[in-house]
Amino acid sequence: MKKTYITLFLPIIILLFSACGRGKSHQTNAPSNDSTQVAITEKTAKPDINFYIENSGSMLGYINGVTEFEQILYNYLTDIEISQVANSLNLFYINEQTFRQPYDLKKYIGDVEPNSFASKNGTSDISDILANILSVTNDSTLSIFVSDCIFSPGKGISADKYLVNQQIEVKTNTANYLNKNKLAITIYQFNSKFNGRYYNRVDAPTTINDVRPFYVWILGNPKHVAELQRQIPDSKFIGEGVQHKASLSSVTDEIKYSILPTSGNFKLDKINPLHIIEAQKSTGNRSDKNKFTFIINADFSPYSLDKEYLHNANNYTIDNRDYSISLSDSRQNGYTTSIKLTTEQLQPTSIGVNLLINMPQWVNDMNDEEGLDIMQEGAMAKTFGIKYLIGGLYDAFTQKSNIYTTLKVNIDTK
Amino acid sequence: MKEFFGNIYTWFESLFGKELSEHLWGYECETGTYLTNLYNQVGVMTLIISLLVAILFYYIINHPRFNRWWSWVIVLFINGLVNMLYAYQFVLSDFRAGKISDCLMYIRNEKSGEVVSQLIEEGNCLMFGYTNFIVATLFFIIISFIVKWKSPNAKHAPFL
Amino acid sequence: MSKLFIFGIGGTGARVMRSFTMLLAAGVDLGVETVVPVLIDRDLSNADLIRTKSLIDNYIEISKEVPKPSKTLKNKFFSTKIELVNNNLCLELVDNSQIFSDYIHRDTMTKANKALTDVLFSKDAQSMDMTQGFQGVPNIGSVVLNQFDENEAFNNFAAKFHEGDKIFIISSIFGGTGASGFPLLLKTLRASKPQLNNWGYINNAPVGAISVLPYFGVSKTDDKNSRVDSDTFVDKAKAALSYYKTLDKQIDTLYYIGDNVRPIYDHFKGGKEQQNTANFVELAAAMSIIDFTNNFTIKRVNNEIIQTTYKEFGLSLSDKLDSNGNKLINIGKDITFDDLGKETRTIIRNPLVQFITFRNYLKNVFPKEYKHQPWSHSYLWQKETGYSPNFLEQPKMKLFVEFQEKFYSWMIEMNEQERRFAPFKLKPSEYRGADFIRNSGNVKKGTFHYKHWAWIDDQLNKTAGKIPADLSKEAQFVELFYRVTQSFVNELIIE
Repeated sequence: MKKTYITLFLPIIILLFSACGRGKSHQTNAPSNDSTQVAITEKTAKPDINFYIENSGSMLGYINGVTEFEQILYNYLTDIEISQVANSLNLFYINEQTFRQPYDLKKYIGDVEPNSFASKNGTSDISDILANILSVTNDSTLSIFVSDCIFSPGKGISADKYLVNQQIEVKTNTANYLNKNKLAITIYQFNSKFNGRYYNRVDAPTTINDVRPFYVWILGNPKHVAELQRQIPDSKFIGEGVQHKASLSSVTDEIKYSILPTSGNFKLDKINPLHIIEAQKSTGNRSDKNKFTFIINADFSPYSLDKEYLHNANNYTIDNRDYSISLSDSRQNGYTTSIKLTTEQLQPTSIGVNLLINMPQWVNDMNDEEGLDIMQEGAMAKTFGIKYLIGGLYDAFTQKSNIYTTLKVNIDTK
Repeated sequence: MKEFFGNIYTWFESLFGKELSEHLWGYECETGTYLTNLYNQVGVMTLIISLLVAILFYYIINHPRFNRWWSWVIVLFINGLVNMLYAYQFVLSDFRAGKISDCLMYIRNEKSGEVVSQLIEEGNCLMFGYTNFIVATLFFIIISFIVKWKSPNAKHAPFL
Repeated sequence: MSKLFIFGIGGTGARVMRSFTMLLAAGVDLGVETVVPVLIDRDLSNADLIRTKSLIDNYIEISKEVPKPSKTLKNKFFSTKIELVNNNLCLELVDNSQIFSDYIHRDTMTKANKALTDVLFSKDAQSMDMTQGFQGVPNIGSVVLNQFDENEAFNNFAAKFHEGDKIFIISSIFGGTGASGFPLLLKTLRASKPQLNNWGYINNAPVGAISVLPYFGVSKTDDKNSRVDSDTFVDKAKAALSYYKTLDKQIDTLYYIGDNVRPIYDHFKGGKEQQNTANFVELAAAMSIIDFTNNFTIKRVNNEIIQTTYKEFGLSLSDKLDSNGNKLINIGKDITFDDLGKETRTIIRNPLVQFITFRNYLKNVFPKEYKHQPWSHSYLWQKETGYSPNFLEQPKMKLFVEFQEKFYSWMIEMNEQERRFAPFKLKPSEYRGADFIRNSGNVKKGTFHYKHWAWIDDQLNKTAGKIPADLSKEAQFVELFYRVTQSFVNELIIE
């Protein structure tokens, strides 16, 4: 009698066990394995890093005496060396030509003297240099380029026309490159003591001893660019550190994002946790009464965007007008940004949150449109034509689409 | 079927909290996915314990003097207690071993990352134990009505 | 299909018949299917007789309801059939004259005959009122009982008798009716009566008898009319025994039983007040009937008995220990199953245990447990189908329960004699649970998963479903208890 009962129950128990067993394997397999594989390939293929410092005459003021310029770069290079992020690290000075330097960080930048630095005093056309650098940048080579990024149209050339042309040139070069390669560019803006001659747009020198901006560009395969920044985050730069940052990436891989299940009155589909089910408006007396809220945590780190950018709601669009967005740092490991979406019009829908490729506002703010009188108010802290230079990059990157990525969420109500 | 047990437990979610519930669903903050459904583990174990206790009562103890409605209620209560302790220990060990995903466990300061408040306490684990008392009681009642009929001495329990 | 005709003569006959009926009720194997009892007494108002008559009437009623042993049924309680001759248990002696001198028509006698009569019978005897039997005066009894063969009842008896049937006669040797009636009855059965149907079968039928020697006394009385005097019991027995020598080879088996430990009963001449408490001797005497049917061996040539078998009853006293473990001399005044001979024990122990277990359960456990046990109680919504105390109040079951109480009283009576037959603890205060069999060493240790009555309930619950459902509810009930009490005794050690 007992036997019959046991046999009666056995299938049920087995069913239950097997059900949860299947659940496990199903859920664990898919995403995590893929990501570990990606991580492995990234690690095994370290890039060669070519480090370029522009050594045209306008740069000499940055290495005159002990400057932040030297300290920041020397420290940065040391970090690159220590972090072993590079397969090899090659050092160059660059203007119209590139000059390979022996591997001696100290000599290269540590206590570099104007004599050895500007050994051949050439002029520089930023778009040419950029084209030059891009031509040797590929999936196994990452380039870092340091410059004051001041256009030098020279005498007798219409500044407006020149700048627009430069922008088009930058766009064209970059777009051509993007057609064949994946590319990410991160531009840091730093400040440094500058003691030397400043050349304006007509190459008229002014001797100044002040603080001037300079730029460090990282160009390369998006994965390498992101990895480098992961190894050497912005906070590692010494002194006053990174003033501004702009990042562009042709990454099309889906980035990691998830819904925080405890962030509102809903449940998540257990198989597809980007699907909200049983959504309900909040009840009670809190401020979010009669609203429906949920939080998406997203990892935007592949785009190497700074917080300022990521926390600016103008850099997002939502393809559902019922929802409003608010942004903050994610409190979770593995995610950069916490995106809180709120609505009073709850109904079954699907939402796409787009992260836009917008040129950061600071680029406009840093731009010196005139480029003539460095002593003009505010000009000391600005860079002539930087808007056009970086604008050319953004033009190239937004050629096909003006969004980095779209976070899609489905919502079903209770 | 995979979510059978979880759905039962979430009837009582307000007792032990949504955060602990999401942990039991197997939510991992790092990946934003549901991995091991712990509700199935607790649920299956509770079902098995309840089945064993019912078999113990109806077929092993099977006593002509322990076949009253109150005998059944005592066993029902003991079953609830055993399963309560089991479930309490189950989640408490995860809790103490730090296996509960961070985003479910804490609210952290955005910038410093310091813990601002803790969302799951031992009290939630205890409440989950109570919940399992209720669930085990449900299971025991249902199992009783399935297995009782062939019990020589207790087939009437809990009716007499 | 064979029958056993039992003639019980006098008060002792009725009392032995009572014990015998109890044994049949308990399911003792008799070896014949039907018993036809005939109680012979002049004293029809004799309370012993009335008690036995009512008991047998109950038995007959109950016996109709209980299942009979078959391939599918096991019950042996009340399974031996009891039939009456002409629906009458008692053989009535014709002539209703109550005074002995009237009975012998002394008034119409010649003077010489009267004188002879006066020599043979004292004046007291001649004026004796025989309504209450012969009051231990055998010579009067013999005269009256001589009319056996003229009795109409004998015709009916003969008509019932078939080839293969057996006859057994119970009588006391020390009283009035029995002592004189037995030889006369035997003579009648042996006599040639070609005018009666089947008489040849009766002539040739195996005959057994038990002659009960003195086993009780009566207190002295001031009643000068009473002729019952236990001082004369032994002398009367001696006289009768010397006469019984002449019965050799007229009877197949003759049993003797008696006891030198004799309880003194209150003095009654008979009648309504003569209701003696049961004595182990009567039980032992009743067992002689069972011995006769089960162990009968023919020692006849051409239907002539070549040798009469004489048998006596004895105990096989067990060692008794005091509380310190010292051996006590067992004088057999406290008889348990251990003190019975192996044969006796084999015959009666299991039936008695089964029947008393049945009784004790219904009395002590059933009222408390019936609501809780699956065997007795169905689900709430099926209240009517179960067994309840109310069921025991239904006429048929009530009769059964009453019989059990008579059985219990009978056990109590034997339990309280000076030589007590006390196999059971009978008073509820004396035992706990189902531990009522004395000398608990008889119970296998560790056999019972459940203690005491719980074990019985467990068995009842397990067995209830196996009882054929086509039986009446009462029959199912009895069959169930037979099977369960049988399992119970099977758990006892049988040596």
